[in-house]
Amino acid sequence: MSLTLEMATPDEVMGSSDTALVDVVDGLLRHGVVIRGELWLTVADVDLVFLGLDLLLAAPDKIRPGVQP
Amino acid sequence: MNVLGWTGDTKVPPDAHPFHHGGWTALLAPSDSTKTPHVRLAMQVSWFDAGFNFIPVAPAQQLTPTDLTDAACLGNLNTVWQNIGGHGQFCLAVRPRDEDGPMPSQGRAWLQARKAQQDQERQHKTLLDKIVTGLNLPANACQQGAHRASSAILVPRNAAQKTRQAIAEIAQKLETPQDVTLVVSGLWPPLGFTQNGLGTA
Repeated sequence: MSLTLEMATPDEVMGSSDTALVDVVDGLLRHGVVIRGELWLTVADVDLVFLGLDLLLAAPDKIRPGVQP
Repeated sequence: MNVLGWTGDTKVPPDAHPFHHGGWTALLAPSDSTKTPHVRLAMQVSWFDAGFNFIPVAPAQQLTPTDLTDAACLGNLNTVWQNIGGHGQFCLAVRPRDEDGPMPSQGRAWLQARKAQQDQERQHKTLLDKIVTGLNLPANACQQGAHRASSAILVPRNAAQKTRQAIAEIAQKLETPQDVTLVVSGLWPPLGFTQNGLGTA
């Protein structure tokens, strides 16, 4: 069994429709400094849900890394 | 105007509007040209590619200059700046080379397929952990799910090429329980490494 390596630049990733690369972009959109709990949840470049709450909504394994959901 | 980041440098991108506040320079962009999270991310990437260092705001958040009036929020920018200034990040993801077919819809077959899927995801996480550990760089906790595992590593800008080579060397040596693909993308602004300062999502 083998491991294939694929390297991509940010421009290639943002212009791609490959689901793995779309996931990379969607992950990046939610990272960075957040002052207010106000996020757009997006999938494949489509804005789906707007959260205007001062709450942190995240998967359990993201809040407490290592915990299996 | 939308805030896309802060910098402690005196140089700012030519298409950014500097807004000085609390000893920092917030980098602003016109609201009408940065309406969507993807556009905001693309602008952050263009600034980063042009060599500018800044602490990025989450692109999913639309942050206006009036939100910056809470000086307490800016208290930890120094710590973040020390950690990520001059750095970018590579995103790493391990996924099966061939996507599985559709899951059975019910019963024992579904349970067996789900267990196989979870085993596969655990293998991907283990593999990615080995790669990240081998690089010996600051890294985010590995995220696991949806047939793939992903993580991010913090890399000095001037070590990007060296890190690509190191990843390739480690990948070449690893034995995998199945045919998998390691997707490495970057160099991105260090979006995943701002957690030592303000809140992160």
